[in-house]
Amino acid sequence: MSQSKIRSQFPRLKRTPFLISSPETPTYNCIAFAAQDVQRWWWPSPSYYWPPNVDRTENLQTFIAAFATLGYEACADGRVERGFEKVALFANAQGKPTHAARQLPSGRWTSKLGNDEDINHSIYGLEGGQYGDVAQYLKRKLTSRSANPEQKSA
Amino acid sequence: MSALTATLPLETTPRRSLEGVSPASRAIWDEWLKAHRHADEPVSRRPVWQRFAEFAATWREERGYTSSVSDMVLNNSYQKVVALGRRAVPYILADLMTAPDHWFPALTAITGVNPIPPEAAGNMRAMAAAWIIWGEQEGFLD
Repeated sequence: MSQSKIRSQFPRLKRTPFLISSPETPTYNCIAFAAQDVQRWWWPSPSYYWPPNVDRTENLQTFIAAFATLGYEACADGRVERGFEKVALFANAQGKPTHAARQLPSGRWTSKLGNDEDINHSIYGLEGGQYGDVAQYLKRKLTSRSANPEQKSA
Repeated sequence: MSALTATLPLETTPRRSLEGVSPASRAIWDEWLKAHRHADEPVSRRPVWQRFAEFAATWREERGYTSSVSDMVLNNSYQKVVALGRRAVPYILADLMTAPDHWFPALTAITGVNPIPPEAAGNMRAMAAAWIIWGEQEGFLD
């Protein structure tokens, strides 16, 4: 997908810079990418990956519960906090989860766009488009295993 | 010429001798030709492969950047593929052989089975492979 196609779905990216940081791939999605898993498509639908023992109802609480299995807990905002890494869960106007983005050490965010590319962006840039707005920020302590948030695989 | 138009009496088929005809008659003649074209190639008589290709292309365009499997499945064009029924299965499987995509719910809705093993959940290539093997075993890919 071209940058202009991405901007057509996320109008605020016309006013704030973003970088395409990977080729297109259907292998993983935004939820998996935020969870640092680039081998699977995470979604609470039959036959798709969803953490064991987490309810497969499609709502914000189950998405928060899915990230809780990785040590994440709710937090107030997306500001950079030393020693923590953060995830932003997006939801549409009906409150249905649509997307997850992962914070980079710089304070910018990285996202996988559906079946397409990864991008580096601001939270503002991705809000107000196809994904709606951020509904919940999550954070977890950085460990030696997760110390390099630029890494892709879990 | 379709079977329908082949059975029409000769005197009812449109003619090209339009000299001196009024605009109204010409409009009627145009509508008559259009009716013939629709009788030859109505949407419902287009081959399944062609309808599948069109619905799939529209679905891929309309889904945008969603990650939501439920949103992809509820898309109107995706539902039209499901409505094609078992006739679409060979084309869906051929599409999966080209590249993995989210045809798994459609295949399950059409066939009533799900050959994806639990350990392959979310692994798009393994999920596609499970369906392709099933299709070969069931004779959909002969």
